Amino acid sequence: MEQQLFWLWGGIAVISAVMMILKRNPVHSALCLVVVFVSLALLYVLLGAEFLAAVQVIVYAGAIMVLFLFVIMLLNLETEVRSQGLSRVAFKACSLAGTGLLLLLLLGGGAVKALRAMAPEQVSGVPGNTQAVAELLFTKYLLPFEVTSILLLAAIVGALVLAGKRD
Amino acid sequence: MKEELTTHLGDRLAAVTEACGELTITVLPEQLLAVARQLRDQEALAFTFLSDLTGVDCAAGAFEVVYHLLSMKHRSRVRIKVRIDRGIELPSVAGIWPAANWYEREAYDLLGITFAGHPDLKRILTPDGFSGHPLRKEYPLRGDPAQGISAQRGEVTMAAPIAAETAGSEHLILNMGPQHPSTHGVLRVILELDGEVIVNAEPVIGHLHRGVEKLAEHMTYNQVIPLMDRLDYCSPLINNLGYVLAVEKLLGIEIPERAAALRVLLSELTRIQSHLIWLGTHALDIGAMSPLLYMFREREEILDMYEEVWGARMHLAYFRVGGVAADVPKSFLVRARKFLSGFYEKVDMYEALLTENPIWKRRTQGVGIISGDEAIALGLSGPGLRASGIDWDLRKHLPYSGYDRPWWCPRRKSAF
Amino acid sequence: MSLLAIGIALAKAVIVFVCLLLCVAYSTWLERKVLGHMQVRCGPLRVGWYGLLQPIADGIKLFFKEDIVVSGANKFLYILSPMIVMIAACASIAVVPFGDYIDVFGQKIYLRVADVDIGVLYIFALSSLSVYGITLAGWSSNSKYALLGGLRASAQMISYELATGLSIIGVLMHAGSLRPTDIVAGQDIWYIVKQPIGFLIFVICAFAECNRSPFDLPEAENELVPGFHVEYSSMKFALFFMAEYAHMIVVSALAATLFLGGWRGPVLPGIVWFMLKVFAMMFFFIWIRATYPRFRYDQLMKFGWKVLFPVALLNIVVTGIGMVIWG
Repeated sequence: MEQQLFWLWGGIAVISAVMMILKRNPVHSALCLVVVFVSLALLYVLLGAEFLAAVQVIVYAGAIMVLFLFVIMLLNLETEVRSQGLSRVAFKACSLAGTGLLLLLLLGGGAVKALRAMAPEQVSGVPGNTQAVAELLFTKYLLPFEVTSILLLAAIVGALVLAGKRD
Repeated sequence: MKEELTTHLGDRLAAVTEACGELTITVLPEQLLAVARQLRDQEALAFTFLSDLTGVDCAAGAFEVVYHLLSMKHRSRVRIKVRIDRGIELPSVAGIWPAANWYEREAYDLLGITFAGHPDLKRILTPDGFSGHPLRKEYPLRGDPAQGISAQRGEVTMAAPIAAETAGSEHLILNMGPQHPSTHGVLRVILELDGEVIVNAEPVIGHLHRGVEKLAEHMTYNQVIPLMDRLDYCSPLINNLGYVLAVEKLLGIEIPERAAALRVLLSELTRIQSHLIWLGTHALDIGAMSPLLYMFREREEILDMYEEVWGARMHLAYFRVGGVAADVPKSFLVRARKFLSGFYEKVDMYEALLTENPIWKRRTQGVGIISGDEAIALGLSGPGLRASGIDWDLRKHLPYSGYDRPWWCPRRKSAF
Repeated sequence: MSLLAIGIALAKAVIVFVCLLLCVAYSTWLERKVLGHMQVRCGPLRVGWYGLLQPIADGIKLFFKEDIVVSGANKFLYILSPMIVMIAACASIAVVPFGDYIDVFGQKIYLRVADVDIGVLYIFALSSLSVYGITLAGWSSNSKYALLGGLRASAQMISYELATGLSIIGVLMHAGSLRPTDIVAGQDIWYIVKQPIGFLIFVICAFAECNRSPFDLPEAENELVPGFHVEYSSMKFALFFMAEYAHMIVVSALAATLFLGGWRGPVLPGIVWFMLKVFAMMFFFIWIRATYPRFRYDQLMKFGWKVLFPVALLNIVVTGIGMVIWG
């Protein structure tokens, strides 16, 4: 059951990712990316990492992508804007080639083995993995955690400075 | 005031006349600006308020332009008359009284009088692409057949002055209306926006113009009264009053004391229900639903009283030249007394719902402030003028109709 | 998993879903009735006793209305978005516990569809997804009013989601769990007593998240006609309409669970207490709608970012300090 679900969600994720690149309408692309995020979240659930799954949806799908969509809608980007860089055929060819490579890698035994190696037993052994994540974040990985937050803070300040410069 | 006028302006005036207790001065077109400026600036005159400006087609190839002036300081009125031949330009007084801007546009639109030096002389009431001047006597009452619906539908243009000023700036020009969910009726406003803040607005007001003056010209004095109801259907009786007072003044009619009292009573009831509509719909427009329904409950009571008085609920046409149409039934007076004594309580409730409501205050405070000087210059009157901090109430300062009688004593919580 | 357990789980899901839809239908009746009486009107009277059949009449009416897809609309998204909104609103109810358990033929049946470890986060995740429905509805219907409504909705919901999330952290700190049943179990004293400011912020944000007055800017009828769903008709419109009420019910249920002690209460059975608390919250929603005008857009944003957000942060700090001092 778990195996089938993995292939289902994984397949949806990969297909949506490809669609995201191929779609000419920016809103459609953004939505495909949302589907990728949601199916990733479902993969996390399969791994027993429910907390990560929820956070994935709330942060990436719920906040960041909504902002993306917001900007796309606000600017009312037309489909032509995107196809300026590469010609349409070249663009499709490149993206197809890239996806093919990705699929090869995925299908390659190594990837599968690696996925199997970290199979459920390791993570889902802990019943409330919210607690496990929290403990790791605030003990073993405290320094990277704090560094990340300082980085984000710097980004916020930078954004404020840029946005404040109007006149 | 007559003496003051002659001492200060003596040599500039062609004539000073007094009729029906109203002062009129006649000046020559070339003297107009000098006289106007003196009327406004001379301390002893201080006619700072332009109430109205109208054009009159005198038929014999001539126009007369009448300026109605008000001096709040000396509590008196005067009107200037200037006679010009057709095709002759008159200097614009918009630089002296900014209120003249729209009035002159109206005279230009409806009569074809041109004003030299007007900041933006263009049509104001008739639609874009209209030709001809409807208030001229030779213009047919039922409209010019050449001006059919299709001919009237000219090109709709964005307002040129705003667009020209903002060329190159980051401001956005936005057209709002004539059909918009927040306009009650049809009103078009051309807005200039800086982000979300409106920095300039040009209203296009002609969408509801019906040419009442033209209609009235072809009727007898009594027939005009129902037209007056429809000028502002929220306060029909007050418009009736204004009209019948003018006719009575011209004819020199004195009305019975009881009629005067009834007029005041009904006008004030009308005023209450008119303000209730305004306040209620305003509250609804910013999202407060309930006050409107409470206010309509009270308005309904007033409309019921109307019905008791004269049968109709909206367009009453109850005031007549020389008095009122009929005496009121006794039950009306009982009812009015009961309503009025209970109304103070209702006002307290409206205060609690709106003026004590933090969100309502946030939405309204500091928005669209008009200073006292601006209000006078732009000819703002009534509650709008008082809201700008000017203590001016015609009923108190220049009483008319029954408002000069001893039994009229306005009660007011706090203002000035 | 035994066949019986699967059957029970399925039955629970179906029953809860049907009950939710019924509650949605009758909360429209409740709103119209309560609002009517608050505004010296009667509300629905004609269909059934005290207008009790009105929601059904409305449902039938909406069902038979012409289903219009506007020209120039992005058809796929136009049809998809009401579904997203409705699914997100209804799926959230799955993790809300209505009561403890009941005995049916010796079988313990817990009164919740799923007892999820991260129940609270699950609701937040779903509500963050429902933004898509509203935003896309506005975008795909090829109308300016709808687009503005959609933009307003997305900006508003993102802004207030943060404060909502922060407002309940205090509760989570007290309960030490994200599982709704644990949170209810922890409330020997209701968390509204321990977390009054958190509750206040939560309720304010709930109004904003549900697009309810005084934060009903996305559908301000005097400015945007009805905003994002202006171009929708028939059942698609009905889905938006139902989703709004479903969202309100979910948020009320969440407030009852997090702050008002969930199903716990003396004498009466748990499920009755729970319903009473949800009803009280719904009544409060309607009451506020009858009382307050709408915020202006910039004021709404300022209020969210400059008042609610910092106060919610401060609340967490104070809660933390309090917990360290008093254990």
